[in-house]
Amino acid sequence: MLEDQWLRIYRETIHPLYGYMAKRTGGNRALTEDIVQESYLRALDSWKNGPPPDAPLAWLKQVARNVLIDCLRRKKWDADPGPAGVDPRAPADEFESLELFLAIASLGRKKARALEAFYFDGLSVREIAGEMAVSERAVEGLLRRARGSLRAVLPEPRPVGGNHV
Amino acid sequence: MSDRYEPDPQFVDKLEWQLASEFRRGSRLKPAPGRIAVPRTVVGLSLAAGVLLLGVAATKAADLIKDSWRRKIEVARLETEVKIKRAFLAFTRDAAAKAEDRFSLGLVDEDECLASKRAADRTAIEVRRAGLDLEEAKVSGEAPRNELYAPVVGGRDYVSERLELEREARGFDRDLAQARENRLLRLFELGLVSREELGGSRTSLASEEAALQRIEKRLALRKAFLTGGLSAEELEIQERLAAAEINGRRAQSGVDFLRERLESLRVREAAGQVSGEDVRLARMDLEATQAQLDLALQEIEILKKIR
Repeated sequence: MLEDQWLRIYRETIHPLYGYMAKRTGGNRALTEDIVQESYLRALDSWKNGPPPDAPLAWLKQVARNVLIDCLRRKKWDADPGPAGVDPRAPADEFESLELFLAIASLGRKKARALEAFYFDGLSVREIAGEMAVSERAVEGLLRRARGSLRAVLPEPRPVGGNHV
Repeated sequence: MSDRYEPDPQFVDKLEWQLASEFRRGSRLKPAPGRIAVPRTVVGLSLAAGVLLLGVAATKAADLIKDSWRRKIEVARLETEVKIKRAFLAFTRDAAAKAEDRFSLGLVDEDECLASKRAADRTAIEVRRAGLDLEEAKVSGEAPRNELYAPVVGGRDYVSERLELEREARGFDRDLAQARENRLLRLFELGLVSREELGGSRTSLASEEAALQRIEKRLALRKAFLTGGLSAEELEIQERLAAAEINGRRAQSGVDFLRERLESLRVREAAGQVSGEDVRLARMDLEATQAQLDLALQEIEILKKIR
């Protein structure tokens, strides 16, 4: 891989990758930046000795998602500390976003993919069907089953700091 | 209000720097665990070969976009610039030849003759620089890049070549300033020019020498960057620190000269030889130069802390 090629891939993917990750972290800038940076460093390590993948953005998104899951799972999850890198006094939507993301990540791959696409990326059923190469009806069924599974794994609602004043 | 789903521009720039730097570091050959360590000389030669190969590959990549409109516009722009500079070169050479004739007839002084020659020399260097920019644009397909952390293009280090041209041009300026100082020193010894005038020429010479030192430093930093000794971020800090140090020395030289000048004017004011206005203007010049010196010292302090 050439340096020019590497930097071109970076410039083409940084904004969509950042947006993809920011939606999952509820807009937590520090955490998103850390994850994005780590993803690119892993990409460089993986691609430097050969050609980059055909769809570098998809690769990066997958890696970023895995990095975030690892990051969240490594931290103890109890009433006091918030998700990794997040102050429990952080805005409620950041906290809830990460909690939701971690819960979704614990579901099966297809369910997780459908839920993330619908809730985080804001895709329509039709768009999700196109991406997954299935019918819209199949996506609706998948989302319904996924929500049911999600309800079972989401923790009980607990008080959070909310917006810190 | 910034969009929370959009990255901060500073983060984007900084990460790009970091990734470019990491890429270059990774390009250096390192023995993998279990393999035989490669001697340093071989590593150095391999690095040079790698840089050349990258340049060749970059040339091939540029070939792929040779029909792009952006490349055509950039190349056309630079071709026009070369033509204009060549025409101007013919004009300045003609002016220099006329100035020499007039100097030999005693119609102009040596300063004016040298200045005309100098202008022609400088224009010749500008033509060469414009030619260099055009060559780079033809190979890279983009506008020439002059940052010290810009990549090598087609196996050629255009940044260093442009710096070397600049060094040559500055060398002419320095020689001119030196010649002027030598002449003024002779006249001062004969009592035909004031100490102030001599001091002014010394400050000009110091300024030209400082500019040359800055170019030498930039060349050294560029070399260190290309051999992987510095990251892009370290490079910028070093470059700014070097510039601040040179500006500081230049400003110090100016302050010393202006302080002497102010004292001399005060004495002459007391004797009624100059007006209060002259003294006031001299004090303002000194204060302005002192402010430049203070700023340079502050910048040096900040950059040393970051480094």
